Amino acid sequence: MVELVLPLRRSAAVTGSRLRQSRARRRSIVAYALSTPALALMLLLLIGPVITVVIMSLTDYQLGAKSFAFIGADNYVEMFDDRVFWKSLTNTLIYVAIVVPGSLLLGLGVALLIEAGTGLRAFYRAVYFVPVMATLIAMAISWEFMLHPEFGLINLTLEALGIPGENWLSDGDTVLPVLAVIGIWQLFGFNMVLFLAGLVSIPRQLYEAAAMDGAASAWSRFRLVTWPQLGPVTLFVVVISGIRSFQVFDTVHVLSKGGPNKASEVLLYTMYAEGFEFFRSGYAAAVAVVFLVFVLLLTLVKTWAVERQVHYQ
Amino acid sequence: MARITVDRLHKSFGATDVLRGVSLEIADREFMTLVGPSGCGKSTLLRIIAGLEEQSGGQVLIDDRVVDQLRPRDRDLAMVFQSYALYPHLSVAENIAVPLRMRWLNGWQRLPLVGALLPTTRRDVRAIGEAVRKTAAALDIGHLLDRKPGQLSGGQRQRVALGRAMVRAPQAFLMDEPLSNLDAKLRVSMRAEIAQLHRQLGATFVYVTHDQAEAMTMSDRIAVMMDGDILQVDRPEVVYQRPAEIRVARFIGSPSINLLPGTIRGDRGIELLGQATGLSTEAAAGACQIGIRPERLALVPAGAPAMLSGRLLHSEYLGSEVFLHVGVADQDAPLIVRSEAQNGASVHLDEDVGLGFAPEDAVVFDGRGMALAAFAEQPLERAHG
Repeated sequence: MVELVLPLRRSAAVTGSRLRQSRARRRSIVAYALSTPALALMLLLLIGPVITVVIMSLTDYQLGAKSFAFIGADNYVEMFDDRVFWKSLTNTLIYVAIVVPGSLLLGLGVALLIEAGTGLRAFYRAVYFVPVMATLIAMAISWEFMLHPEFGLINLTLEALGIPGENWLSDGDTVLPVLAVIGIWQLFGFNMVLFLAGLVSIPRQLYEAAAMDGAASAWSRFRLVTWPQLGPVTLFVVVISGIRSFQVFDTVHVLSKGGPNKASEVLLYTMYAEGFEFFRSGYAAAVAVVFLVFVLLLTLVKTWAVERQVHYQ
Repeated sequence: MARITVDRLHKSFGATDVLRGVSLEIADREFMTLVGPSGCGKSTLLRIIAGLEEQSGGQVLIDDRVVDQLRPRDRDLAMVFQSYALYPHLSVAENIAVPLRMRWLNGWQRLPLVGALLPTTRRDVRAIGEAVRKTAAALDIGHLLDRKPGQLSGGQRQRVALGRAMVRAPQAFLMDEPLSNLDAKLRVSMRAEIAQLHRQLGATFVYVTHDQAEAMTMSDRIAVMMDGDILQVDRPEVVYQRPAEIRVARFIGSPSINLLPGTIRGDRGIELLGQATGLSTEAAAGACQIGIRPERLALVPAGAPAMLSGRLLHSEYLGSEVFLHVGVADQDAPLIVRSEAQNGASVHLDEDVGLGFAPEDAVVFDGRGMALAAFAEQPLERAHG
């Protein structure tokens, strides 16, 4: 019996492995076929444009021109020699450095207050979220009225209090901080919603354990439980706020046009001005590449931190 | 030293009364278990003792001192939670150190960089490290000190939670279903460990569980709770053998107690299904319920007179013993007989079976479900299986 069965088995095994091979091949073909549309769209809509921008930054292309030439790194050389570019980059970094911590702390503070209170939660949530939903261009115009040196609400209020007003948007010292404040105003509601979601998901028993362990004050409970538990949310908030404040454009365009004397010039505004006012598309593309590098850096920081520790698993 | 006294404690959430005037005296160094079905108020009682919840009325005293106004921190109690509630961002060593850091170091010393600069910090931190190591060694988790809770198994987390409670040597330990997230095997071994820990530490333990096996095996005394009341507080064997109420009798014991309708005659004799049981009572005539534990029911050999007779509906073989389900005429639920395996093998499915019990093994409850004092009036011919 054994001698009879063994050869049978062997041949069965051979056909089996052949079958398995062809099945594996068929499966990989299907897999490629199924992922092709997504890959194609990704190439066309995400990676393609980025590559195009990088290539364009190496040319002297002007918007509407019939032809262009490759000029190597000339755009970059010009950019790094340009005082306006450095001013624009510095301004953007200052703006980010004010808006990210500002919107984070304000968002966290408001979220903690709303969580701690008992009444009107939905009302507060909605009110603080309004700036996020409102069109920033329209809101920028209301800010322009409020900031008007003669009949703006802010200066009138200051006057009533006996404090001399400022010409907020025309003063090189105040224009960037004022824009940053508007940026914080626009962004913190979004961060608040993220922090609220994070706060809700903190297990209540951790607070009880902290109370038993001797964390009696609100501050020690915050340090022992709330803040570490909000780690993942905070990281997300920092990255999202960072990217969004790097993208500041609407308020600058409406309120200051980068002025006075480039005091509020920011990266995206430089790019817009070069590309669509002076039609120097190649140079604008080089600015865009710098912008993309910063956004990419932020994303890498997030990925790195996620892998490290912030998620405690 | 911690004697915990709970005095007429009330708690209501809105319109629902969770505790209705509960009083309990827990002796120093006692292992007291609060046991009851879910929603009976046992966890709420524990949380009020801990100070995590505020009572609607009544008092909690520790060593005759009213602690109602004290924060949890100042009551000097430690608690072990069902979910363990470890701080996920801290290592095992840091988790165990938290209660000491919170008490021995002030706010400045706890700050990350500033703290290290303060003169006494280093000495205190070293003392804390020493205490943590000692506790971890006692619990056999010394090799896990650098890990994060996320990298531990359920049983290891349980030990860390115990360590965090022990490290401070508190007056009393409060445990809220600490074993219910463990698998069945681990639960049995942790049961013994916690009981040992109690003997070693010489502290008062208040332990909440819905698992009667935990309650019976570990406790000095158990308090059976139901619907916001404590029904009975006594040693496990008393609660099992002499339940004060029919609800206690039903809740404690697995398989659960057999209950049969009885009658108290005018002459105080107690009848079971129309047959004299040999029990009498001082109580007035009327209906009653007679409870007999499954292991107190014995098979009667065929032909011999039997107190109860029925038909074997089902038998469950468990190795050392066998549960026989015996259907008795006019009774909805079959009687459960717990018998040694070789005795159970002598009867077969659908056979008629005679059952008997010693009168003193029966518990009699009156119409309201309260236990009655019943006496065996004359030695009845005892039946053996």
